[in-house]
Amino acid sequence: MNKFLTLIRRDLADNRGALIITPVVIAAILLVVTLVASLTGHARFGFDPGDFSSAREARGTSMSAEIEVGGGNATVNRDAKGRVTVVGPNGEARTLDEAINKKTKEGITAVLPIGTAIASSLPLGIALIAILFLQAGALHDERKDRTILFWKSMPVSDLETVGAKLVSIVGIGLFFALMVGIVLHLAITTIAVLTLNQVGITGVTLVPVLANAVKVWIVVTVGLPFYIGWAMPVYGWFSMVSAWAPKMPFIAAFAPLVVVPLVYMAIAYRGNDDDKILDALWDPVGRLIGEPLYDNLGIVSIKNAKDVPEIPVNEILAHLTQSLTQPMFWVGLVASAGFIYAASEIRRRRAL
Amino acid sequence: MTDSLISAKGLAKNYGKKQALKPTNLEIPAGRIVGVIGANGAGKSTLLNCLLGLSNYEGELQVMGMNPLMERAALMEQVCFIADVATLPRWAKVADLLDWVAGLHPKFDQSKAIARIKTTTVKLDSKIKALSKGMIVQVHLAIALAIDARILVLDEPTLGLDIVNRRGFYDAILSDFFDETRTVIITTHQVDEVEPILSHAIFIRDGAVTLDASMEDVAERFLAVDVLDTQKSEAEALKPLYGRSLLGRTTFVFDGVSADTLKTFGEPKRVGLTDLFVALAQ
Repeated sequence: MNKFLTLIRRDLADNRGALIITPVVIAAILLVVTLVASLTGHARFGFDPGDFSSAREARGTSMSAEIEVGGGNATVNRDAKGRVTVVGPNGEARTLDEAINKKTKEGITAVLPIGTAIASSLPLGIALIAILFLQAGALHDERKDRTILFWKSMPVSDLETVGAKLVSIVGIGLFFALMVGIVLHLAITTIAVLTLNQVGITGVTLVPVLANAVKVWIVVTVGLPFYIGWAMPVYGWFSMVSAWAPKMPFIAAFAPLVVVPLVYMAIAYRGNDDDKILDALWDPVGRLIGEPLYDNLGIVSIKNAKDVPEIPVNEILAHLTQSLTQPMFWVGLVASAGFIYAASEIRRRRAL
Repeated sequence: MTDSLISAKGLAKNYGKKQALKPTNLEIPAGRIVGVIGANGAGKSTLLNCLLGLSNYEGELQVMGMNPLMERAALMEQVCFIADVATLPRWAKVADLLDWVAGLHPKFDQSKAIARIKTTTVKLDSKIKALSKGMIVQVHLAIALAIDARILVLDEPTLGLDIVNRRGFYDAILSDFFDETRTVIITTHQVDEVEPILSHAIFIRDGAVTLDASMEDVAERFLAVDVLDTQKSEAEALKPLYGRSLLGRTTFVFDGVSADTLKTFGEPKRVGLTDLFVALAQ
């Protein structure tokens, strides 16, 4: 076990840039952008250069815009201090806060963490792509730089080596990116709530919003091992190709997953939506994008008895658990074991 | 455990259609310093890779009673291996590398390695890529000598080093590692450099072992004698392995001809490994 932990420490040091530094840097950039956008009055992720210049121009000036609502036109006014008032078609003037009813605010409380979660998922999304490259290079690069001769001079089995690379890159890599994403989510959600309060909206407070954020964290944290389980045959395949490929391991591993179904579609596909062969050929890509987890899920929020949106944690977790009853999950795990064993046997038999 | 430390029967290795190592029989006992000598591309590293279980092979092979290919992890607790200088991970820091080896090798004495490195100009917080070739060899040597192994395998370990570092390298092997219970296997094409320390020589040419003998056997079997041109035909009748004419004399190398017989031509001399290698290559 000590050897395995040492191998993981080594692999994390080897891939520190991609697994540790990249998610942190991406999160830091997002956080800075969010902060700047909030401070300049643009609490949104529109990266057009006009955002900041228009914010500067608008500072200290009052603005007005007409919008079409159900019973005619309403006018939205913003004073020089940034406070917003809405004048309805009937001429009644209300603050922005008064224009939003309590149920809508409860809805914002429930849905806001979902919106900020989408922005905060970028480190994890990048990590999902990065680990494919790392996994493809894991057993190839040690041959390319000849360090395999040093590592194979240590009393460590090939299976332990392959397993440690998989655990460190896929397991720890993804969970670290998730943790970074959660910290970022906490920060962005907090900024979003403070920004809402700043423009005068009351009733959307930090504690209930973060309580809903925790629900998002639970769903994603529990969902990640399910995702890894479903995608494991693809990672195992990448390990095997990495051990075998003489060069360009990423292309050698990834191209068949895409090229084979595309060739099949070009040759044999006749528009049949229930084509089992095509489904099977796209299966690895589907696993990689988490399709088995969100397939048939359909919703990430439902309305409760008071007609207020909420995150259905129990339903989502039940759906994830249900996915384990599908035979294809277990078929995939068996295939992964085969690929990983093949990777270790290929590594065993070659020096360079 | 077999009597021989290394025992090979019909050991061979093919890369596709190319036979990198032709079927070879070897018996290497403990307590030897074995030189595996051959030109570049002759098959020396291929032989070592097979002995260490680093690549697959054909034939039967036992190293310390183990099958290297299937039991490499267990074997490497007893064997220490230094390939040429470029195999340490360039991205790693020296201190981290020592930590990892300590975690991976139960017979590694980290404090001993650190003590040796502190006698050099290498800093523990340096990255390998920042070190010169000579410094990298010092780090690798410090790791190797801090492992309590029974066999030390060196594959062209001094390639690219200057003469001072080369001498220091072999001195360290002799003083800090070798004893009668341990075996050192060195591949090199720089024969003169290792000849004084060898107790056993294996010559490889085009994937075939052309000599596998102890230095005592080499001294007994092979003799050289300088022959005057007037006696040349007489000497050639004894079927020398090799002859080299220079300044009116021809030096012949003989295999298995007694010293008494050769004394009729001149004083028989011991044959250096360089000359013997050339002779056997003819």
